[in-house]
Amino acid sequence: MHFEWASTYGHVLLQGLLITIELLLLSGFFGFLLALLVGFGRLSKQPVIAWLSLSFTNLIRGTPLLVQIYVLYYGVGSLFVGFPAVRDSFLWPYLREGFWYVVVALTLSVGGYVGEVIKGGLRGVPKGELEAARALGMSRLLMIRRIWLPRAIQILLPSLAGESVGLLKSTALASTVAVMDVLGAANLVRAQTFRTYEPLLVIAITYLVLALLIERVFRRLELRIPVRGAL
Amino acid sequence: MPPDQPDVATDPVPIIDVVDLHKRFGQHTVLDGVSLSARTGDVISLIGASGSGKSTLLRCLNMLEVPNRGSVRIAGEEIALKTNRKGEPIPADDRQVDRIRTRLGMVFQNFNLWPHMTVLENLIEVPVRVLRQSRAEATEHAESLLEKVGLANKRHSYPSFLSGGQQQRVAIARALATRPSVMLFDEPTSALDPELVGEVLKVIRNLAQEGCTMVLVTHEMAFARDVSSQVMFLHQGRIEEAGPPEQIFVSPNSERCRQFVTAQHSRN
Repeated sequence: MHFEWASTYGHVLLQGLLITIELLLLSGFFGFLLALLVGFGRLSKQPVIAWLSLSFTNLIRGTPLLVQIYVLYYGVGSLFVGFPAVRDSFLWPYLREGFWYVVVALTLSVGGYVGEVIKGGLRGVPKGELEAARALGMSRLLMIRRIWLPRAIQILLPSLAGESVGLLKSTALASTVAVMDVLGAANLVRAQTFRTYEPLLVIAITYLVLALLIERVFRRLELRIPVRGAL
Repeated sequence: MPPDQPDVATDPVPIIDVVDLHKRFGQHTVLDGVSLSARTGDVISLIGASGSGKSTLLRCLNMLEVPNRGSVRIAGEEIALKTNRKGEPIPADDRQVDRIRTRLGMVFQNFNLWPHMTVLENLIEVPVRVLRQSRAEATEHAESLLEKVGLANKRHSYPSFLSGGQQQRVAIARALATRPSVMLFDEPTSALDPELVGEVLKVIRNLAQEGCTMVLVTHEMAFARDVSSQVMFLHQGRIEEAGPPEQIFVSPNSERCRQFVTAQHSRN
């Protein structure tokens, strides 16, 4: 094992770490918002909305994430190049970068997978709690905001922790479209130093630490509301 | 603190006035022309076998079930209804229903406290979020209500740490927190272990004695006889007999009512 490259390339890996965290937080945040729409959409009594939500989850969950990233980056991305209006717009610096395509792909992915989880959580809240909210005078919207959604999320925290770790690991696919995330940075180090294992070992441990941190954050959230019978 | 109590003599409008209520679930008729009127201070008990329609009648008062026909007036204000595209009855104005619901405190068989909030948060939620009271004002009132149901020391507990009887007492306090004109109880002791029934009935009895207007669906015959100003016996979606408790429990006119009361009596 040789780690003398670390002094020269350490900052490359650190920047990669930053990119990975950005991917995680951005797609986690926007993906969760989308997942809320999908989750409620799946339960909608409007057939069109229910059908649209179901089709979306089927599409996202039925195709590999890597293919989705390629379709967005090589497909949609290369279409943009053909439009001068797009190429000249202020958005072009973003549309040129793989980063934002990956954010969009991960957001859609979280929307599909977590949307289905949210649907399950919403269904898991006892009807009586919602009925009590309405019976005491809450509007439907207030009931959703104050009772239904918070309760569903409380029930789902362990699953959401798992989904977040899954998302962290999915961010590694960003390196396939030339994004310099942790894995991208490690690949660069490998190519320039001809050391194969050491950079990979370092980033494997990095992912592991991040995953443990995520679990910890969710554990904290779970403990905020004590439940009898829980550890 | 008991709900508002205008002088009965100067209160010509019944606080609850239900006329000719019909309710169907699919093909099944649950209420078949029921009328009910309650004045301030009344304690009305609804009794009858399972499926007789007593819970549905109670749930029609605050539109948790929307009747197919008939009218519900609360303090003289009729709840406007309409029919949706599928032909089901729905409230014409959700805001009206939400507003009226804050005047009707409801207590459920299964308590239905919100487990992600402490006892105190359960109590101030609607006063703060719906009635726009200040947190300090709502908290002060909530604490006096918890005192009254004997749970002041549990105000920072979460519901899952309370016994069923304690949860139901919190649920009663939560329903009182909006200072309702009427309290609706839907079999408040049916989900409780027998040794916990007494503490809940005691709280309800105290409310009745303070003059709180209430409509109560119950299987506790001795209790109904004790606290009610009027008892209604429902059978197959109709009011078979209604009258003061002495009449219903001692000398009912209806043979069915007599049988039901006797059977309940020997069961207890």
